[in-house]
Formats: sequence, C-alpha cells, structure tokens
Amino acid sequence: MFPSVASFAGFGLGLRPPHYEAILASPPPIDFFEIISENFMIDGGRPLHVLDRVRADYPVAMHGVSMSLGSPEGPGPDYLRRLHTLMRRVDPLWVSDHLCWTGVNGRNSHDLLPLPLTEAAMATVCRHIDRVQTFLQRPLLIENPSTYVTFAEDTYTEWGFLTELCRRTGCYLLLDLNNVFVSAHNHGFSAQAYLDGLPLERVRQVHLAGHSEGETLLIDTHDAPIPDGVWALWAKVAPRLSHAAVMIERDDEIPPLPELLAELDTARRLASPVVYV
Amino acid sequence: MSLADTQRDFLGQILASPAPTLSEGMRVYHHAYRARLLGAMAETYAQVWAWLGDETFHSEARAYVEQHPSTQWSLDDYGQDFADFLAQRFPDDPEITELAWMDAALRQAFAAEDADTLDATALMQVSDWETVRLILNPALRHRSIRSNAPALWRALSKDETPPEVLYFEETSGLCVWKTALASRFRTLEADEYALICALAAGQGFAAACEGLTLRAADSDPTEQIGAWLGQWLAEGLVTGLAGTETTS
Ligand SMILES: [Fe+2]
Repeated sequence: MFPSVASFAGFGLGLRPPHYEAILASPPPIDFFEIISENFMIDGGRPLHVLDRVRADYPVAMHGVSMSLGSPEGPGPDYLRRLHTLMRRVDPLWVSDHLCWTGVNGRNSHDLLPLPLTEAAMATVCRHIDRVQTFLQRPLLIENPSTYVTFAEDTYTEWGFLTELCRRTGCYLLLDLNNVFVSAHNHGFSAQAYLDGLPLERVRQVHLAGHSEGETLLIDTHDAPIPDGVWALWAKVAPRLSHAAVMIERDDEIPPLPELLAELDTARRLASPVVYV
Repeated sequence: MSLADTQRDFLGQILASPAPTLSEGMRVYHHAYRARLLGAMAETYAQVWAWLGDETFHSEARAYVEQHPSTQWSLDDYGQDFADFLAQRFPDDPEITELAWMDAALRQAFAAEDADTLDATALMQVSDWETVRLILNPALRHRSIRSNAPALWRALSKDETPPEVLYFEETSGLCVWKTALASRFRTLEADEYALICALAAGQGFAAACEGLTLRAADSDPTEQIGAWLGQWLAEGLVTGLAGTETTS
C-alpha cells in the first residue's frame, strides 16, 4: 500500500493565468493554490516558470480533468507519464481527478461525462484507480461531478458509489459542494442525504463554485459567484470538514483577485464557530 | 448493454450532427462539447478570426469541429489541421491558411521545450567544421509561404489596420521559435530558408552548405553563410552545436 494522504486544513484558490501578474507581484494571504494539472503538462514555457515561483511560496494541489477513470481504456501512457513528471516537479499536497469518463474508442469529449452507477462501472473505475495509484505511488482524491442525466441501470447512489470506491481502492475524496447542489437539483435527491452518506473523514479537499440555470436543470459553469444555496450547504457541513482544504473554483468570467479573496473570506467566516458577544 | 456500449452510444449522441432529438440533459452535453472545442479554437486562432471576421470564422470553425472529432486528451492540441482545412476552403487566398499556421505554430512554440541561447564565442571552439551539427531551437516550426501573412499577423495582433495582401512569385520561408519564454517569428528568403530546412531535416552543417547553390550568383557563399550563422546564434534560432569537441 502507499502512504496515506495527510490532511491539510486551509483556504485556497485556483491558479489561473489572469491572476499570474498579481500573484507574483504580491502573494495573496491564502494557504494553498490548486492547479489544473493538464495546463502544466507541457514541455516548457512561461506557465511552468510561474508555477515554480508560486510553489516556492505555497503548497500546491494538483487537479486533473482528463484521467477518464471511467472509460474502458482509462488514462494512456503519455498522459500518466506527463502527470508523473509534473508531480515530481510540484511535490503536491495531492493529485485529484473526477468520477467520470471523458471519451471512448479514441474520441475525446473534453467533458466530465456521467457514469452508469453499476457494478460494471465500479469494476472499471477501481481497476484504473488501482493502476494510477500504483504508477504514482500515492492515493488519488476523487471528485464528485455535476451530472445532467442518470441511467436506468443505476444500482448505486453516487454517494454510495464513492464510499465503495474509497473502501476498495484506498482513494480519498474531493467534495465539490456546488456539484452536490447541482446534481441534487437535477436528479431530485437530497443534498443532505448525500453528505450524510459520505465518509467525510476521507475528504481532503472541498470545492466551492457557482453554476448557471438551464431550462429546468442547473449547469455547472464555474462562471459566477457562489450562490446562497451552496453557501448554506457549506455552512452546514463545515464543522465536519475542519480537516479539509477549501477552495473557490472559478474558471470563466474570472474576476480580479480581490473579489475571489473576499469570497474566500466568506468561506472562512462560515466555517468558524459563531461567536456571541 | 455493456458499459463500453453505453458509452459509445452516449458519445455518439454528443457527436451527432445535426443534433438528434435529445433530452435536456443530453442537450447540455451536446452543447458543451461544441462550446469547448470552439472556445479552444477561438483562443488559438485569434488572428485568423480577426482576419476572417466573426461570421466567417465561426462558421468555418463550426464546420471544422463537426468534421474533426477530438482524439487527444489535451484540448491545447485540438484544431491542428485547421490551416489545411482553410487551405481547402479558400484555395485562392493563401494568406488565410498561412495566418492559421502562424497562430497554431506560435502557440505550440510557447509550450515547447525552453532552450538558452548560445554565446557567439561557441563558434570559435568548433575544431572540425566538417562534422559539426547545429542544434536548432527546440520550439522551431517552419513552412514556406507565398503571401505577406507575417505582416498581416503583426498588424492584426496589435489591432492595427493590416496592410494590403500581397502574393509573391517566389516562396519564402517562415520560422517560428521561442527565446526567453516569448514566441517569435521571422521571414527568411529562399536561400537562407533552404539551408534551415536542410539542417532541420538532420543534415550536418558542411553537407547542408554543400547542397546549397546561392541564387544570388555574385555573393560569396562562405561570407553569406557566416553572416547567417551569426544571426541564428544571436536570435536563438540555433541553440547548440554537436558532433564536435567544444569546451564550454
Ligand atoms: Fe470541482
């Protein structure tokens, strides 16, 4: 087995190109940065230099979107080699990806596609997690995705599926509260039941984000401030996640850094015990 | 149905064009796929977009996306055949495909391996010019062009009014590479470009020079090649020397 993934309690942000200058000019008062691994799985260039400078000052978590743990073929050798190279460069807090598949038969959707929650999917995902964990010599964190369809053949709830994944592979969890909120709305389950059903002690990181509204569905777009519903979920579950690293995910319509720092302050405030005076 | 069959069917619905009748949830995936690929192309092909205008660029990019499913995990690599696609679509306007090639090459160069420039004194340590090989910048991409696409690209990238399009009888070379983390490009006249092509194809320096017949008959080849070599080192087109004993 591999070493366990140590807890890191703190508040952080994603490292995004529009903020590079501001961050290098004046390092913000946060506890860690998260990077999208794929953006740095390159041979050279400025982003890697920025990353090295940021890493000198902050712990960094690696978050991937292309591992495709739920597809029959799983991640290919080129992907894993580049991920491993980056991991050695960064020495990250941890490496995460999603409970999803991104493509099949050599075609890639570049999206986090939903899995049928069946024994067959469980076997496939476990096989690939085992393979990746052995290759990287460390456990992964697996994130719950936002989904817009479910499958008639589902035999697990999503939280039941994630719980079983942790048990079978020794992986940890990255809990995205916006994704819980969005999927709960889209599929009519209770977000509270979801959180109550998860082994929260396996959660190492929390994502907070915003979404947008479709015709009847909510869509995970990471392009808006965190809405009240997601804040309420965070306020409720925060006391049970004081061991986790919390961050705001903003990938589109990225505002100036101070705006995200203010949002992060809200996350901090909601997590701290209420003080009566 | 096996998991793989379910996934093939699912992805088939996403890729289907025109969109079949889908549930709202499947429409989200169908839409997101196109939005993501078009977004990546808009980012890469900024100057082609400026040159073609919103309407033409978007309709060409949409047609490209429908005909070219993504096969790579990296979204950065998507759209590499767009220049060839545009060459077919606009056979009489070579500047369009050349602009597209530049957009893609400059982006690739940006993420390519970094290399330090070589000091000119390195040349003085070459003991045997018969066996020396020039190591070209690892970010180098090159092609021949027959329009003034580099001048158009420069103006478009600065939001300036581009000059009139010009087509030349004789093709020249266009090189894209990177120094000090910044992508750069330069046009090379035919003789200099022929030499770079020979070197890029792996020929030794002496062999590449031998194969060169200068078009300008009155120029002294040794002097001319020496001048190019000095420039290549200064601008980082050549970043190393191999196959000879150098002390550095
Ligand atoms: Fe997330």
